[in-house]
Amino acid sequence: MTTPAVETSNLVKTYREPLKRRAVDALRGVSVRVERGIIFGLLGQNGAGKTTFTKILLSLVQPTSGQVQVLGGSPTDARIRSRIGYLPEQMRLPELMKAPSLLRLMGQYSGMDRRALEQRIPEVLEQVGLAGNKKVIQAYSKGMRQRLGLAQALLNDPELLFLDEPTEGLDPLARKQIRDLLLRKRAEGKTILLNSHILSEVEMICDEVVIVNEGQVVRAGKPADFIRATGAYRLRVAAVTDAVHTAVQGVIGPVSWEGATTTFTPRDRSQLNALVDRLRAVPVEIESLEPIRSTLEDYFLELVQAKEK
Amino acid sequence: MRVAFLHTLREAFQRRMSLVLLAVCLISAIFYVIQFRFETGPDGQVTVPAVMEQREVLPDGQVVSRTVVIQRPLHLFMNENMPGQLNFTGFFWLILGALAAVPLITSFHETGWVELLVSKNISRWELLLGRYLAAFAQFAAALLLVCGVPALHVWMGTGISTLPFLKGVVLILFGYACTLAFSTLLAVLQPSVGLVAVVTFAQLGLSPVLAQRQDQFKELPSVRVIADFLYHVLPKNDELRRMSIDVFYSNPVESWAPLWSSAIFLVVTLAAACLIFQRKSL
Repeated sequence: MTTPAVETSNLVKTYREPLKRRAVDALRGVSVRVERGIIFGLLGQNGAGKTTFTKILLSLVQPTSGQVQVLGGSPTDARIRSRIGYLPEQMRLPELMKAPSLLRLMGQYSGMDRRALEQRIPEVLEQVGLAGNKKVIQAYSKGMRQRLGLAQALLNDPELLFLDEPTEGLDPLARKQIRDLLLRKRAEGKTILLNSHILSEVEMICDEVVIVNEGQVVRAGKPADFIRATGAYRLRVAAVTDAVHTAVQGVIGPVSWEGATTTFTPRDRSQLNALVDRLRAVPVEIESLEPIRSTLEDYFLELVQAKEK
Repeated sequence: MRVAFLHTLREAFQRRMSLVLLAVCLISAIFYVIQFRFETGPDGQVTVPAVMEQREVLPDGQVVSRTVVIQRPLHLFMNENMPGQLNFTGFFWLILGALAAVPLITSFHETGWVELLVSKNISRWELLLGRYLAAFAQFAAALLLVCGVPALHVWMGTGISTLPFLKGVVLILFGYACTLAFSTLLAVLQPSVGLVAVVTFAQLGLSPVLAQRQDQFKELPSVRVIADFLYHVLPKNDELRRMSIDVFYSNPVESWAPLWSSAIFLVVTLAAACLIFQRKSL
């Protein structure tokens, strides 16, 4: 049995501010297991503890207590770190360098062999869509910087990738390209820990998700677990006439309309079928009738709003 | 550590202040070689032409000044010029060197860059020491130009060994290493270029004051206590500068305490910087 890519047990991190004599609990007993070869999404509001969690996994921050294992070892071990790629959320790069020089430098810091590095640089630049770019970083757009950040994270062909908002600042096409790249990496057997605010994206590519709130894991599962039928339906008709009003009210009861669309929750399937029969008898053309499913975003917003209340 | 060292050196060549330091040192070295030429007279005595202003009183009482070139005996030149060089190095070049080094040892602490470096296959202490050594090498290269070239010029022109002068330069360089260790520790604690620069200059500026604290604070006993403490803790650049002149003249050195106490400061400060950086949350 292979060891998981990441395993934490009861991870606690308390930041102490000596001058204010105040302690801030960033993580309060986080236990997570990330299997190898999956894309794992980390969700939470700003200040929920996601970044602290990621930084502990990279040994950028020391935990106050708890156990951390990354790729079967300690993240403080440089040999383990050489098998990891990291894209930070707020990234600062040397402005006067060009992309190949930066990647060469990052490869040297990663302890890569010179020949392998020279071979790898054009490959990763190609993968992120920066091949042939001759500009210095100073002249890069936000999206190009983000691509370059991703390139340096991929440079050492890592087994485990930590990506903090990888599609931030990218246009829809570039986002799609990055998503495809991540899916390709997963197919190659790489593990990706993704920290993103774009929930639809997380829903699209993640195999597993945890939601962190106030330093604790409040929900974990597959994105499909969060997407469930609500029991409600959305009906759209060609025109809302008095006859249509009467028909719907007669079967379902009073409903409110937004243009030619209404949402309602039928008692059961027979009531739904009765409504269709009544509408067809009016007659009115039914443009669509679809069940409403809650998305990951709905779940996340519900959770956050409930916490705020 | 080698990667961090070479990266920092490359970065130095992109920084204006570092380039200014090296350029000024190079110009000074060239100027020195052009200004001081050694001539051997018919009696075999080596002299150095020196431009001097001479005042003359005319018969009508009017004073006129003229620029004349005199031949200064070599021993006079050696006794005046080289200690002057050491004094200048121990103050002016030291400050300029610190000014060029501070951005090098603080810049990599920037949020978003330091995390990237530390997440790679390199120890934090290697990263810190690589930076430190590169900043030190930058100043050593500057001194090689501004002191090494004149020393070579004098030795080649006169045949007199300039080794005592170079020993003096090494003492000043050692003082710089101590100051740089102090700046490195400050940068780990608070990575702000402005703050580190101010505190570093304060340490360099305080050095002569602390060396003479007994006279300076004769009537201020409470200040004297603080001055005593700071004197014993901080590196003693001013005394190392004076020691370098004693070494040049081959005078007996009164006390080696400034040297070994500065050495202890260097080791303790660098160790503390590495330890704190190792445990720091980024």
